[in-house]
Amino acid sequence: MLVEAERLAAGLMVWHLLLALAAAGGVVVLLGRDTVTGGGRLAAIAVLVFAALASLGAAAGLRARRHVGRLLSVVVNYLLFLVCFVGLLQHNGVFTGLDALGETFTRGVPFLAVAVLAFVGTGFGDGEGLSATVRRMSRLVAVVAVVGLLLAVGLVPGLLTFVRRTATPVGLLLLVGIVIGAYLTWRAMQPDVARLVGTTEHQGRTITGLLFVSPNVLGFLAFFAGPLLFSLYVSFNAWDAFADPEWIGLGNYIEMLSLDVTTVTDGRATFPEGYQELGRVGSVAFGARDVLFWTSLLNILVFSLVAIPLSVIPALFLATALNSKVPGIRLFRAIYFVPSIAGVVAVALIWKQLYDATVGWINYLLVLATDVWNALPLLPEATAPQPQWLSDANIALFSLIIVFAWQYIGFNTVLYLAGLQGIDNSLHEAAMLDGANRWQRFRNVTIPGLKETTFFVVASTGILALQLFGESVVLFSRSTPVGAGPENSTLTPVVYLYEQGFRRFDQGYASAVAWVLFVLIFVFTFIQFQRQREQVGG
Amino acid sequence: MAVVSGSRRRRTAQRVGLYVVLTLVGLVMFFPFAVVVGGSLKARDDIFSYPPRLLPYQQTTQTPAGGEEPLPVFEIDGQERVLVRQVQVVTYAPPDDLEATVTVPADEVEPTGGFTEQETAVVDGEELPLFDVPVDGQVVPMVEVRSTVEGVFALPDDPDNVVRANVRTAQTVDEVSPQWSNFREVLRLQSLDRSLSNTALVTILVVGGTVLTSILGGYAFARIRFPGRDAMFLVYIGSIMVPFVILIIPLYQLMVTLGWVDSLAALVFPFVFNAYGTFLIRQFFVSIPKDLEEAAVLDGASQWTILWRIFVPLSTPAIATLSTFMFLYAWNSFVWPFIVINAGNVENHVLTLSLQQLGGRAADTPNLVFAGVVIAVIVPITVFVLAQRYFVENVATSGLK
Repeated sequence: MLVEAERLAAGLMVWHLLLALAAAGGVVVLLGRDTVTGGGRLAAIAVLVFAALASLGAAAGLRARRHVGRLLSVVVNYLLFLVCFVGLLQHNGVFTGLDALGETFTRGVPFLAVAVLAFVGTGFGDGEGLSATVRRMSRLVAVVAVVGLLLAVGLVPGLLTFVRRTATPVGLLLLVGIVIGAYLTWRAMQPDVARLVGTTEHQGRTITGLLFVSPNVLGFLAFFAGPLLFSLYVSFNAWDAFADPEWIGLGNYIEMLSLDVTTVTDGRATFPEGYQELGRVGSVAFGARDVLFWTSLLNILVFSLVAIPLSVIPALFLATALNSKVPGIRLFRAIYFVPSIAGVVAVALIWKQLYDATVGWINYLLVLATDVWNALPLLPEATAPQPQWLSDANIALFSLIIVFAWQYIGFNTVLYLAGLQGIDNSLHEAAMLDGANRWQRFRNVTIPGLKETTFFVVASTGILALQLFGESVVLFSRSTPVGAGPENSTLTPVVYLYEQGFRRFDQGYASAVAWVLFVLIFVFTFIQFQRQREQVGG
Repeated sequence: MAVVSGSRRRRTAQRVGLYVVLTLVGLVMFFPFAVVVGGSLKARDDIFSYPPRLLPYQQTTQTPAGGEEPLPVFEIDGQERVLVRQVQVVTYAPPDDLEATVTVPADEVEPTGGFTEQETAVVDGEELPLFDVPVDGQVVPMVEVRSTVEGVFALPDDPDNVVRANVRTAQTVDEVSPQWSNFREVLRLQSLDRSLSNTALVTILVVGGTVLTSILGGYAFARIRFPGRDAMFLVYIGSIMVPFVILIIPLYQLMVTLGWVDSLAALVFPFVFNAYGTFLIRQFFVSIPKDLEEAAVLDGASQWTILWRIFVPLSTPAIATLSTFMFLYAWNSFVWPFIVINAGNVENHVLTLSLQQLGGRAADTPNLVFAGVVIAVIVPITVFVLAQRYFVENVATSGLK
């Protein structure tokens, strides 16, 4: 057994030396050519350098019969397997093939429905109250339905295309990489190799742990951490998304944030070149290089300042009301929750019609309310206000606030309800014995007991509010920029980011907008967190 | 005794007050949905009628005695009458006295001097054509002042009993009549059926992928101790707080590099590696007592076996919560599809995109927009109702701890 392991270790050493050479060669080729540019090139070089170093380490470690050699070998071979596997899928067009699947998927929907029903019949594994026969039959039906689903959506032609595309030089090379990577990973995981290099149980667990987190962590690096760093880099560049990025340091941020303050003389304010007037407070005038950005910032601050309390405070009271044990609470809770699961676009389209100035329900209800008011004695005669909810620049942002609050009050109520159920009832009883009335108990027991919930609710509502986009875009689809509303009164930072990044294709500037917004969100969350901590102390 | 009954009466009053408040808020939350459902069944002219009505109405029709076709019903002077036909009615006046008007149907009048050589008169410096208008058996040449359309309304049982009235101001007789065809029409209009199928596909893949990677990652973070694990987990938790906005530009560039722009793949794969899901599953796994797996460990079962045979079956609530959460997220997400899928590429649209476009295109037919909204909303609401047991109770608590 051990002889075989030793032969394998020798083979692995040769293999890793070859790999290291190949990776180093790849780095040289990449450095020599500058046809590939940008973040992709940097990432490829980094991966190849890592592969070369790790391979060398694996070879050296295996020669010294150290565990680290085995670990590195498994890591390198596993990554080789994954890269070749994903590469083959990409090469064969499996990912973009989803589009074709979208077309044939309709045919599979009946099978899918049967499969889901049958799966329910198996009792999700615990199978309470279901007989064994029912469960076995359900499992059979589920399997048949899944096979039917795969056949209906075109598994066979898909597989044939896959085989045909694999039978090309690149495809076959990737296939060989997959087979070698998978085999060597599996082989080095076997106990005889572990014994050869003296792997302890603790060290063995590390390899297993890394394998388990690997899909998640690699995806996290590729689709979150990598892009995050890239975004920071891009924000220091002038970049139209087509030509090479041009490093301009803080240029984007300076352009965006530059402000100038002067006093108004003879009704006129003069600003340095490149500045436009943003607004006036008394006799002081503010000018900015990027007036639209500052407008968006002011809009979102006003919006958040009103919308967050409006969707949190009522939720707190509703949750307190719902927390009493009267029948029908579950129904109310469900109804309150529904707006938050209906989706931004649907909600905005609903309100667009409600807000209609001539035939919309809201203005009609205002008429009805005014009629009732006028029918009451002793009240001054009133005429029904008929606001132009979506076309009056003074009201449009307020209309957005109403939609937002309506959407999230129920969600926050449910969060508060969960928090309330976590409060120790004996505290309430003790306060009651001390003679505290309802309001005092609410003030001194409930609210302090909810401080963690409040932090979570306010922070998550704030993050949603500061990133407002969809509601604006749907409600103000006719304005330019899209979503900016009448006289830019509903222009939000994300709407502005979209305009800069995907209409004017200034992706560097758009990234800078994103980072400023990120800082804003971070500061907001941090302040909430500090407040929560202080309350804990006090 | 009096004190007790007083406090009971107060408690009853409080409870009634509570229900009144809860019901009022419930109405505010529910009413817009009632408007949507009603609106989705309305005909186009009904949705523009004022005052707005919740139920879909359409004008009643009735076939008069001896008639062949059903005719629209109006209420004239308290009687229900059907509109038999419409006539052009013209008001004429003599050129020298414009106040002395006569109103007659247009077909009873002929041009003075015949069609080819119609005579004219000058009124207020303007040359107007003259018409021969029959007045009390005499024919008087007059000029046209104005013309309207009047309806001829007959009693359904007695078609010879007719009155004339202005059609536009006549009171219609309506009945509730849902237009189910709106749904068929909207599916065709914006190829909403294709978006529906795309959305279902994307959602299933996102939910399945997230659950899979989260179970694997969550298990490692909960049970397999290895160097760097806790630091890695902290980074994960921190990343939940990073807003999506920051990723829009770089993710778009990544999609360009991979060739996934305009493709459904861009809606699926970036979202299946989810820090929130890993966190949720890990928290649940940590709470599972260690004794449950110890027997399996002694039997020499691998971590893989322990995970799928012991942990996963015990974690139905957590997995259901995560699935529901990801379902709602994938089904309703708008910002990213709006950016990464081209507006013209209708084939690859998901529901939110189609709806947004429909809202712009069909602005003059809100009934169809509402039908689209109903189609988009019915699925998440159904899922919510089915999964409420897990979702409402778990997403709240596990999100907090």
